[in-house]
Amino acid sequence: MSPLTHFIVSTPPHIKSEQNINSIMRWVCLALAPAFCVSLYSFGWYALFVTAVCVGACIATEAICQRLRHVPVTINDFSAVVTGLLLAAVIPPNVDWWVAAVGGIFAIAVGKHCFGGLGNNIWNPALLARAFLQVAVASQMNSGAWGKLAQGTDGWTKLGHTLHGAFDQLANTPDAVTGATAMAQISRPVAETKDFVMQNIPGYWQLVKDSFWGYEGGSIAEVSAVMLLLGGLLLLWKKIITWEIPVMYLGTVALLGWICPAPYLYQGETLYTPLFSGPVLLHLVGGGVMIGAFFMATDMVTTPMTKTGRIIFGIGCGVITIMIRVYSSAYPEGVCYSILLMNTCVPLIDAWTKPKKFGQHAAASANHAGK
Amino acid sequence: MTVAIIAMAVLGAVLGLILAYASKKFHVETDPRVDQVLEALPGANCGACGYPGCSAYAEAVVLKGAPINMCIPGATGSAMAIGKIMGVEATATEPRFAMVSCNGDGVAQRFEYQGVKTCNAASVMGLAGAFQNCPYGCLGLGSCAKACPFGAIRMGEDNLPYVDENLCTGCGKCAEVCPRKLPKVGPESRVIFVRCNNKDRGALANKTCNHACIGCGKCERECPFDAIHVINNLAVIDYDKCKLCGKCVNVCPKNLIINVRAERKARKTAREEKAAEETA
Amino acid sequence: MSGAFRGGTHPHDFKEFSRAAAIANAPVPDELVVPAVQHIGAPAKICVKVGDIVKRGQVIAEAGGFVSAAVHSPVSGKVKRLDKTAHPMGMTVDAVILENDHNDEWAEGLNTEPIDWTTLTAEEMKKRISAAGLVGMGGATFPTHVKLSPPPEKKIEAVILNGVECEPFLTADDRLMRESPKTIVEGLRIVMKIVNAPRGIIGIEENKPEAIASMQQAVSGINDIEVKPLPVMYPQGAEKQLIFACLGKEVPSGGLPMDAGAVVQNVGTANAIYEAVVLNRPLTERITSVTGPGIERPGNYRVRLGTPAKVLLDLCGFKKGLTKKLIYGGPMMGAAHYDETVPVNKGMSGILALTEANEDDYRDCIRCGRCVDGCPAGLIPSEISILCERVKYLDTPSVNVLDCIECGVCTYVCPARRPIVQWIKVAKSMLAAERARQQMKAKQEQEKKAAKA
Repeated sequence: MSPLTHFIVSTPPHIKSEQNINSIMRWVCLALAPAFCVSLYSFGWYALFVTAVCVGACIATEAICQRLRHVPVTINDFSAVVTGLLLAAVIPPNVDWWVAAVGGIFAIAVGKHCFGGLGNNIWNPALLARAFLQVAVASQMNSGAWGKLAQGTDGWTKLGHTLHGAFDQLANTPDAVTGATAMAQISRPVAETKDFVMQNIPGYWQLVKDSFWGYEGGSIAEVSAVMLLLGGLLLLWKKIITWEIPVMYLGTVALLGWICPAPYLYQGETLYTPLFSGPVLLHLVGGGVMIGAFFMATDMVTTPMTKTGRIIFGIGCGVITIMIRVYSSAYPEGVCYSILLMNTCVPLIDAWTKPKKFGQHAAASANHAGK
Repeated sequence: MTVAIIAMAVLGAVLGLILAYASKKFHVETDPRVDQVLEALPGANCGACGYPGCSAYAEAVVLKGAPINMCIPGATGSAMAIGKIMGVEATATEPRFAMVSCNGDGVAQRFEYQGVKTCNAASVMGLAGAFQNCPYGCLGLGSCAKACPFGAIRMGEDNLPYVDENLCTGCGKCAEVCPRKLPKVGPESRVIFVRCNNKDRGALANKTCNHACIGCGKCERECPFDAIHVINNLAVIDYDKCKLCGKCVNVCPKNLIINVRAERKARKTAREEKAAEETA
Repeated sequence: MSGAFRGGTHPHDFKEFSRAAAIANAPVPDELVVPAVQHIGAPAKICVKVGDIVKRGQVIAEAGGFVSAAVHSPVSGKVKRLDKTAHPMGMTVDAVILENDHNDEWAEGLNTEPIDWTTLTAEEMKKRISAAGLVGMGGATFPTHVKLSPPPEKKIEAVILNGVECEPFLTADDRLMRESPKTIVEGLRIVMKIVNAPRGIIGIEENKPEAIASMQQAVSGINDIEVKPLPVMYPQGAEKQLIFACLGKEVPSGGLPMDAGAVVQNVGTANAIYEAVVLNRPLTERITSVTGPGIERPGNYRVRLGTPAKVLLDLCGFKKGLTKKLIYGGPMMGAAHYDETVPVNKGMSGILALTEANEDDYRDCIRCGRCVDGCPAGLIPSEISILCERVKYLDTPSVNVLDCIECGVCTYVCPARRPIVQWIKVAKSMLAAERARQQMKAKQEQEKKAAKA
């Protein structure tokens, strides 16, 4: 039945802001683009292939899950694309293609739709998938030998082997160029002198510079701190994200990274560096802090809704990151787990930081005066 | 090794004793009949009995002596089963079902509506009277169909709800959610039904809908049992007095008083004819 | 970034459509439809019969109680019939249909030469205001004389004039402040005298520099009145937010402005107060903006109450085919309507034709927190919306739904396009219905008890 007038009637407001889920997700994709460009330059086409596999797996899984759940299929809102990109960003560039696919499927199916789809998940899907891969295929994720400017031939070779069914060869495929990532160098370094300070070792500045520009090894899109910073600033400028989480996260990482005495090995003995001597810059530009602070910890669904809550969240992420980075002997990098742990705390933070309703204070004091 | 085995055994024994003591000490007496009654209920948790859910009703029956025939969806079957458990004679309850008191002729929407697609939301916008021509009729957004725990209501192509009498148990959830209280739950013996809710004066009602009750009073005059009256410009049947003679059905100029049985029969024959046609 | 109050948002203000158009007199049609309900409170009772000859300013519907306002004939002419008419909010209300004789004769004793209001007592002035049928003309339409009658124990610290006009598109108050600042200031001084307030503040958003300049000029030399430019932030013009911005005081939750020592009046109301007290002129016209992308020649008009909106729309070149939404009031809180013949009433600050509609489908809450950041009432709108989506309306008081001022910020900013305000409206009405049910039950039980005893 067609209505009698063509005027649309709804409750106010009759105008809406320009930001909707689609536009937000598209801006995030755009903000990630420069970092992926650098990864293409650093790691070659195979990195792009891994990214494509991640994104493709995410989109396909989203469509299938939504079909199964009998809800509208919303793959054109770009949220699955963002999850795929973020997942690709935090896995090594030389993983097997099926690792990327499994990660993508896990991220969407378990990380998102098990909880009820976009908006209802507790943990950041991309990070959840990374954590899953970290335990499931540790050898691929923790090689600690991600190619520095490796032109990625190894990945293609592996792919070729896989396609030919030569699975047994996989384990033996050597990495083309090996070298510890920046984070692996921070975590319990072996020192040659007794009063070791990270900043004083030769090559420290080179390491910082390389990490900043993206010549250092690492996961696909977390290599170039400067590009991630640019992307993050774009999101801040477009008001897609708010300042609280990135600023508090990076600030806490810098502060604690500077203050905390770091353990190091000297002639088989564990010693600690003095207070206020941590490698601040390396903490900021190395590893996944940049992508964590701007893209992962700012995921709207899994972060607190109030401003105070976001500040607490950012600080918490920073504290846990430094704890893992500096003191954990098992993991050189703590961004992933710090954000996942803080995601877990979000309902609690939200409950603590409920905004005061307008006039509550006045009402309370009026009551007080009345008594 | 031996130490470990012994330690575990001792630990197990001690904890077991504690548990056994606790279960004796904090034992709560439950009547096994509560569970039996609960099993005899349909488990829809519809609340039509007046208790919050089936288990609450089961408890009320066993522990507080609530009447055994309160379950409307379960009807006679449930009442008999509960009666057997409780050792009480069950009287047969009449099946009840809902009927919608709107024939949907005046419900064309006046405009395209955007927003929350539930009847309550639409009626709260201050547009209750403006949503369609008829301010008393069905809003057509299907809140009743969504609320029905038995899937007995289906929205037709004309945006009107249709109640499947075989599935409907008369729990009244639909009437609860309807902002205009159009679904009316009644016993099977309610054969004559006024399918309109328009309380406007005749001229106005006539303008909004071709099949609106105009309060002409023909039914009232025709009824030999004083069972139908025009109240607030709307014909209302007093089912205590109604003898199902069907005279009102025949005189209603707007054809909005219906004989449910006759309609059902007509529908059945129509269906059979259609089936016969299809097979032929 | 932050405004003078917590929360808020920055919708584009769209004032460019009609801000340059000076206020013009709208044509008075041959037939006017004057609704008896033009205010919040008890409906006015129609007191004329078909065929009666009425003069302009004559009462045609008497106030139905203390919280009510009389309705006056906007023209001179004849009562043609009594009928129903559509109200902007969607309901149908009683109305007097008048035939205009185009003589525009005022009823006796009205529209007199200006008098010196300082010779009148507060009570006399209040009587004039009440008799003139004044209501809040910003859109809330609360009877003015009620607002001007604070209980004696409430000390009024300041009278605040609301010239914020934070609703996008609307420019009626802006134009009024630019064109007749003197009468507004006189109105403010009258209110200050009535409520015995030592201070007057005129709050104006900074996006109206001409209005600020004009008002500043008008108050120069008056020591107790101050023009306060306010940051541009929606909803700066919401009563409690405005008080906070001007006085730095929060109105207690559930309280009234007078609890914070303030009386707030719209600038349009101040102008009408001046006319009512000094010129003894009842409220028979108001300033209305006719604007939006669906209007060819947007403008601001002095309109007789009861003029069908269609008259104004036709005057301004209404692109009916292109218009998707017709709105009476502003785009953030006004009412969309299907009928273009709704008569102008005392609270209709604008008639808006929008050529674009919002998306209709909404998604699950993505917890982005934009609504929480924006809510000027300090609520968590997303929580309310989730509760309502699950039809748990009766649980919503626990998330402070009753403190919501329905300003629309949450729904404006929501990227999932959730109709939060509608849910809140539903929840509020459900709660009201539940309260009524409870009261009924309590009453019945009492009666039962009484019958037993």
